[in-house]
Parts: sequence; structure tokens; C-alpha cells
Amino acid sequence: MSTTTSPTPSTSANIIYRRYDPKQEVIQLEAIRNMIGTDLSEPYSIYVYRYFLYQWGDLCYMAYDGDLLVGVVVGKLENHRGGPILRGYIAMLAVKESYRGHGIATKLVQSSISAMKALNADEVALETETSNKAALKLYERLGFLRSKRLHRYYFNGNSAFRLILYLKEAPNGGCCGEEGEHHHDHGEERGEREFDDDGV
Amino acid sequence: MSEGAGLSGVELDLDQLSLQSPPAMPSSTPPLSSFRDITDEFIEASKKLEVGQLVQDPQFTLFQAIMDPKMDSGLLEPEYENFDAWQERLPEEIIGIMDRLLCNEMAWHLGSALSQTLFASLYVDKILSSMPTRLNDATFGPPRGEGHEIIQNILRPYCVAVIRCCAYANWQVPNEHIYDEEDFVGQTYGLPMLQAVSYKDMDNLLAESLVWLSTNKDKFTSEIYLAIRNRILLRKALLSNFQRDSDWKKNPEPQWEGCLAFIEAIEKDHTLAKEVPEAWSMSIQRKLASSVPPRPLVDLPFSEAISTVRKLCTETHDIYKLLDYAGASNVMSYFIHFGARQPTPLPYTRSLIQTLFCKDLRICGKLPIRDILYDDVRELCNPPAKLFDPKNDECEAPSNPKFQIAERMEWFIARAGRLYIELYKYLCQNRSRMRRILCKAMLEWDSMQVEAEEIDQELASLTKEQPKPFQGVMQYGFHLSSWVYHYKLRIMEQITLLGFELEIYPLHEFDGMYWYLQFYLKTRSLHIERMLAFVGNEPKSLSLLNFYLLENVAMHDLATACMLLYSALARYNLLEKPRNPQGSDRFRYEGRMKPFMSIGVPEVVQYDYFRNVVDNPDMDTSSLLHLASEHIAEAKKGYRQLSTLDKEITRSKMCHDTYKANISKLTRSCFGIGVAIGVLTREVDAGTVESSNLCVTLHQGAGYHASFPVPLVTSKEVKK
Repeated sequence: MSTTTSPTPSTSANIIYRRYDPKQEVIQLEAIRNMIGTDLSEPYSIYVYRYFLYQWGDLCYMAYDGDLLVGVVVGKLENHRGGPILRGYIAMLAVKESYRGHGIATKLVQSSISAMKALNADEVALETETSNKAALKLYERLGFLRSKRLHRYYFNGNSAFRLILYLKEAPNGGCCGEEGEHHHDHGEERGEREFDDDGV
Repeated sequence: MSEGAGLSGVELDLDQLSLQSPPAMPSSTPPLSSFRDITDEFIEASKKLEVGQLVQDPQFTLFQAIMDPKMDSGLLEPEYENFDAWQERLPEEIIGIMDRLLCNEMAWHLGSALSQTLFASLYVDKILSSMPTRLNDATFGPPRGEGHEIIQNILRPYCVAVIRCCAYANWQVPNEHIYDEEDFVGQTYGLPMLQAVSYKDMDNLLAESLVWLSTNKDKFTSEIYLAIRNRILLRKALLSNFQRDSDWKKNPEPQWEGCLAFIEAIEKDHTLAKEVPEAWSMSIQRKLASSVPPRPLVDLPFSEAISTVRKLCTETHDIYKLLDYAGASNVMSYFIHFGARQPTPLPYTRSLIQTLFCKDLRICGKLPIRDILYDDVRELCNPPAKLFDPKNDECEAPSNPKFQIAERMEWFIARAGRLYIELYKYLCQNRSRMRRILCKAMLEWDSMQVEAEEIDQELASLTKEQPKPFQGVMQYGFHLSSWVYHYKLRIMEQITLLGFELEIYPLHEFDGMYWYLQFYLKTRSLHIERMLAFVGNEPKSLSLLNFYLLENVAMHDLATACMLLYSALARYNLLEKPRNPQGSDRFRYEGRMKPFMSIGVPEVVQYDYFRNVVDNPDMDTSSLLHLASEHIAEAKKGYRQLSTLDKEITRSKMCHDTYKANISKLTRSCFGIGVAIGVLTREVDAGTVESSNLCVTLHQGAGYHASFPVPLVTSKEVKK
């Protein structure tokens, strides 16, 4: 972990978790963008944030230390490929570097999953770099399963795992219907990274 | 959703705005009469929105949303505007530029975009930006200033030849099944790749370059002279090989290995190279594709470029063996080993091997598809010769059994032929893709098996087949469906093996997934035994089936030993199994087995049964480990025997070295896993095992087989 000038959290008990509030868009969206934009090589445009927040603001949770935003999770929930499966998706997850290792990311993801569950989600999916051991650990602790590996998924040439959390029983005679995935889909989901590494 | 009501209101307005989604315009300049002024409607609709409220058109996808000014490649930088290709360069700099162009080319072969590699070279840009199609137009523009001779006579021919080499590759790769943007980026941003320039002209240009070099030999030190010469000779050889590949029917003898000596030479004299970083610019991407996010330039280290070009030459050379058809089972095992090579062969080679294997409905340049299919079927399960009698096809009376046999065999060729040829092509995909594609193929082979069983019954009656006793019951051979079933089981094993190799299974799933691996292997062993009962005395079939059985039993022992070892480790919570995960273990099990769910035989087992056979609750840990060590001993024995078999028996006529290397990796895994069993047994016997004092880490390297990584069981104190 690098040394930063940002304040160190006294205890994780001081962290307050809030759901995204569209009425406070001006303040919250700016803070979210600032935080996620900090360590990103390929920053997202305002449209990406709006794409998620306008449609699924109720799946977005934020962690605060006082007035300071220290973590955020952004997701969506849709029928997977127009089929019957209602699939949640963790699109972005970030925790301020100096606040990592206190379970904030886990708490955020759990909140988002709970919100998805309340909306009757069948499963929750996401992608993460195969080399991001911390993220893999975080999600697997929550019960996510590595369902497949995606070769050179990211622009930087790295591969990804798709992780899925199954919340309900598999429909009868389930098969690998996942597999339509040719390039147009891939292209769309390329934008949906997550970049938490909930450090050590 | 709380905002649901507001959103749906907005969508209504959007519909009014969207001009009923007009169909795509037939041309880029529609007649003016087709425009409609929507200003009033727009103002009316937008009044219904709150200030700051966003409307989203369903056509506006997330991918489009990603565009951002920060991701804009921006203006052309001064370095671009001011670049002068004619500027005098030291010979060492010329070498540096040539070497970095090789790095660019190889990075592109490895899957980066041209905009990140070759096209970022300002020299290449100077040549291509005038959109040349003829060789004489492919220049840096009119010469300027002093000292341009080396630029004109060495650098220009070299750049042009690199571009032409890329054009050959860019023509070959998309000819076959290779995933664009994933394995290979064929995008040329509308620039010509000098495809129209003939090989002869290109080769002459390089020959003239060599002549100029030797005429001006005294201008260089002898090291520099040789270094430049080697680079042009390598380029000449690469160009010639790409050209030969593009016309492989005329050039069935590969010469790729002729490049290796030059590669070795330039690897050595690279120390002479002096870098010219200002000759590359990221801002070129602005010109190439302004609407696409810029991608960072890829700086492949020279040493990696060398190993990549070496791999290109040796592996492309090797695949020409296919043209000397060595029989279906040998070709199949060649593809399996080819696909398993690490690192995976380059997209170019993976594309060309598919072309050499099957082009214009000819296998290996000559055979019709039915020949290799029949070859494979006959070698594996030796059906009655009547099925393959060419006279069947001549019979014209529909009531004649010969006619009816021919009809069914036609069906089989059409149905199985496609899946069988595709299977070879699947083995040429990157490993992640291969696993996913095999999951789909498995379903197709499964339904084909059901169909083939019906055809088998009809053929049995048409050929008046006599049933034979097998396991006390009179049975028919079910030859065709037996063959299908055998491949289906191999696919199921391969999917499972790839799950380990690609790290799709985390440690705590190892016990269960090795259980499935041994289950599929066991099922195949039983199937092979059944086939053995129906092949008669055909020596080829007997030899193949017995070899498969040996291979299968060895891996079955290895997988069983692994299953037992991990099952024992799981008892002490040493496999990082999450403690309080969401969902349930049963859902996760069903999710894991989802691709296999609809397979008829062998079926996915019920979760409770699965846990029971994997956990072995009735067996104490010492017995579990004892059993594991017995299996590992058997596996070692099996692999020892397999390592002594010759290439005829092992169907590795074209890849015996790879075959042996694979057996030796499996053997190493056996030893490593044997050690882990030993360590754990000692700890268990001493009664000292606790999850708090032991830890398990996986070893993928050290020459182990990729699907059988070795667990290192260590006490935590030692680790610290």
C-alpha cells in the first residue's frame, strides 16, 4: 500500500453506508466519478455513470467516512440476453486505497446483492482480471463461482474470469445457454469492468 | 425501482422523439425531402423533463457511452507534424528502427492492434498515408537533405516488406476460425497493406537493397554491415515463407526453419541497435480511428519478439507434416498436442493449420472428408465392412439393403462429418475459447449419439448383424454410436481438464472436479472394453483401443488419487472454502455442472450423492490417504509403461516428442502429488493436522501437467 496524505480511518465502525440518492446527484455523482477515475487507465465518461445510476441507482451503495466518500459499488439488473433469467451485474467497485482491508468493499457488494435479491434476481455476475487475486478472494468468499475464462478480455490484453453467484435453483434441464457470446456481446460488456482490489 | 414511474414516462416521450426508428438510410446522402422538421416536437417533449433529468435511447448502448474526451486520442502531436523520414540516421539507429519494427510486427501477431504497434511507426505512416497501391508509390515522399541513401536503400525496402508480410498474415488469419479482437486484430483502418504488390517485385526490392549494401560495404564497420544484412535476409526469408503459405498447394515443402539462422544472428547483434523513440507516436491513432478510444502502444521487448518469431517459424514449419496424411488417429493426436502447447501457437499458425487440414472439402490437401471420417470410425470400432462397400453407392433399387445402407451412411457422413471436422478446428482456438466451444460441441455430439443409435439399429438389421455376448447379454455392436459416444466422452474429459488448466476451479472445488474427471474416464474405460468385444481381430482397432485403455486407466488413477487427497485436505478446512457464502453449495454445484445438465449419458449426479462420494464420510482420513497413495503408485506405473511405447502405438507419428513431454509432465505431477499425500499422511498419523498450522498452495510450474498442479502442503511456521 502506498503512503497517501488521505486520512486513515480510525475504525471501520465509523464508516456509514448509504444508498445512492438521485436527488443529490450533483454532489454524489461527482464524488463517485472522482474516486473511480483516480486509479483508472481508461476512465469512464459521464454517460457510463448515468447509464447505471439513472436506471439502477437503487443498486448503488456508497461508503462514507464523515463527509468523505471512501467506497462505491455500481450495478445493474436485467433479464440476461432477454431470457427468463434475471441477472444482476456488479459493474464497478472501488474503495479508496487507504481504506482498503477493512471489509468495506465486501459490505458494499453485499448491500448491492441484497438489493438485487429483493428485486428477485436469479443470479449476479461480474468479470474480474484473472490476476486480481484480492478481488477473486472477495467475491469467492461471498459465494461467487468462476464460470468461465475470457481470453484477452480487457483492452490491456489481460484475461478475465466471469464470476456468477447463483441465488436460486437452476431451472430444469438447464444447459449452457450462456454460450451465445460472440463478439458483439463481448464488445458491450467490455466496458463493464470492476476495479476493486480491496488491498491487503 | 423507486424511480420506475418517472422513467417509464420518459420512455413514452422518447418513442415520440425517435421518429419511429427509421430504417437504415439506403445511402449516405438521402434526398432532402426525406427530412422532417421535428423542432416543435422536440421542444414539446423536452418540456416534460425535469432539469437535469436524463433520457436514454435504447439504441444508445453502454459501449457508446464509454466514449469520453479523456479517452479521445486528441490532436496530432508536434512529434507527428514535425517528423521527417529523410532525416539522416546513424546505421545503428537504422538497426534500432528495424528491430523495433520486428517487435511491432510480433506484438501484432500476438493480438495487439496495428494502431498500437506497426501503424504507430512514423516511417510506416509516411509510406501508407499516401494510400499507395503500387510499389513505386510506397515511399517516404521526395528525398530531402543529405545522407538519405541508407534511408532510401535499406529502411524503405525494409518497412515496405514488413507491411507486405503483415498483409499476407492479415489475409490468412481471417480465412479460418480465429476470433477477431480476441486473438487477433485484423483492423487496418482503411489503409492499404500493399496487398497488390507482387511477391516478385517485393523480393526484388529486397534483393536490390542487398546489392546496394554490399556495394557500399566500406561505409560500415563489418559488424554493422552484417547486422543490416542479416535483418534484410531474415525479412526476405519471412516474406518468401508467407508467400509460399498463401499458395501452399504449390509449395508443400515448408522452408520456415530456414529463418532460424538469421533469427539467431539478429538476436546476437541486437546489441548494436540504437533506439529512435521519436519515430513512433501514439497520436497516429487520432488519424486512424478518431472515434475509438486510444489504446496504449505495445512495447514488446526485443527478446520476446525474437522468441515469438522463432515460434512462428518452427511451429508453422511443423504443421506442414499434416500434408503427409498419417491416418485419422495420428492427425487427431497431433491437433490435441498442438492446441495444448504453451504458450498457445500464434493466430497465424492456428489459422494456417486449419487451412492445411481442410480446404475446399479436401483433408490434408487431398482426401475427401468421408475418407478421414471412415478411417477414424474403422480404426476405433471396426464396423462390418458392408457399411463401407463402395458398391452400395452404385445400387439404384431403393428396396435393396445396399441402397438403404448407402442412404444411412450418407446421413452419417453429413451429420458426423461436420462435427468431426469442427472438432479439429476447435482444438486450434485459444484455451479459454476452446473450453466454452467444447461445452457447445458436447451437446451436439450428445444429440448425434441418440440419432446414431437409431441408425445403428437399422444398420444391424440391414446387414443381418449377429449379436454377440457381452457381459452375459447378447448385444449388437452399435458401431457408429459407439464411435460418437467415445468422442463425446473425450470432449467431457477435455472440458474438465481445461477447467483445472484455466484455473476455473478454485482449490476447494478440486475434490469434486477430480471426482468428475475420474467418473468420465471410468465411463470411457468401460466403453472401450465394450468396443473391444465388438472389433473382432482387427489389429489396428485392438492396438488403438488397448492404447486408449492404458492411457485412460493411468489418468483415472491419477485423478482418483487427487480426488482422495483433496477430499482429505477438505476435512481440515485447508482448501480456502468460503465460510459463510451467499446462495447455497447446491446452487453452486448446479451452476458448475450447468453445461453438462442435459447430457443423457453419463448424467450429472444428484448433489447429495455427489457430496457423499466425494467426502467419503464413512472412511477415516488415514484410509483415504492410503487409498490415494495406492492409486498414485498405479498411475506412476501406467505412465512409465506409456513412456516406453513407440509412436505407432501411441498415434504420435507426427508429434512423438510432444507426446513424450506430455507423459513426463504427467509423471512429474504423479510424483508431486505422491509427495503431498506422503506429507499429509505423516501429519495425520502424528495427529498434528489443524487448519491453523498447515497451509496448501498450488504449484503450476515446475514441469507439472497443467491440469494436475501439485499442492504444496507446508506448516505455516516454515512458510513464514
